[in-house]
Amino acid sequence: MTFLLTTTTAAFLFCLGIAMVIARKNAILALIGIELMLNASNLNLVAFSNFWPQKENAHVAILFVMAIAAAEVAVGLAIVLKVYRKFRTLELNELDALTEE
Amino acid sequence: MTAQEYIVLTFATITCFSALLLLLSKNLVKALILLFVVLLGTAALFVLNGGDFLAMAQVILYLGGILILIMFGVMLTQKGRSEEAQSGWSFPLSAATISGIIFCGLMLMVAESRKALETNPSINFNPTTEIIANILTNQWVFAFEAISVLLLIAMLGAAWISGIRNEKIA
Repeated sequence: MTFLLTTTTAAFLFCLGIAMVIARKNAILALIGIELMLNASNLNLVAFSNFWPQKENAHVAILFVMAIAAAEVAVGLAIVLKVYRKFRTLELNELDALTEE
Repeated sequence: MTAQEYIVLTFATITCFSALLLLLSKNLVKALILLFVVLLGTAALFVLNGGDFLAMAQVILYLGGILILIMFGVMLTQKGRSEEAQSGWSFPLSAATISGIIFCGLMLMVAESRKALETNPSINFNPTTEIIANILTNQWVFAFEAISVLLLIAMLGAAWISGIRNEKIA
């Protein structure tokens, strides 16, 4: 029952992350959606890791995923700050120019 | 259902409900607080599935690192003092449809795996820190070093992108 609840929560969080990336206008909220998706995949891995003889192998992989998520948030926020400084808006619908013209 | 499964149900409900409110909230600060609750609930679910070191790593990295970074990002991208940070939705129907379809697909996969595995795993709650340390420094030491280099590159890249070379630091 724990396994079923955890995997269902992971699936729900993943779908909410996808909905946030598609539907939210602010760039930071899209980044939050990506973090939700990464958390959901970590939760799924933890739930499935109990079927292994040594569950710590999956836990090490999850630690790597967490480190990569941290690096990605740092670079993503640097890009968001630079975009805000140049265009003064963070609405993704308005940021549609690849060059300045 | 045993008492432990009731606790899992409680934390799963808290996490899912907070994530749903996070999707439906207009205020940016409220979204940050709800993300805090979601990450804390995920840490609790890590503990209840046998990953104790992982839960603490989640609290330190996500709550104490990534959430603080996102809060700084929200603080530095505010237009004025009187305007509150609001944000709306674009393409809500497409988002709901796509995520609904993917949710149904994922639940089908969960049902398939449940049928294939035919048994609930017995979670052993032994402490995992020493074994994780052994794996990280004996078996996967190359990946460990590689991710250190990756974090260094990410830090340099973030500093470069944010344009710190063009500002005079008084």
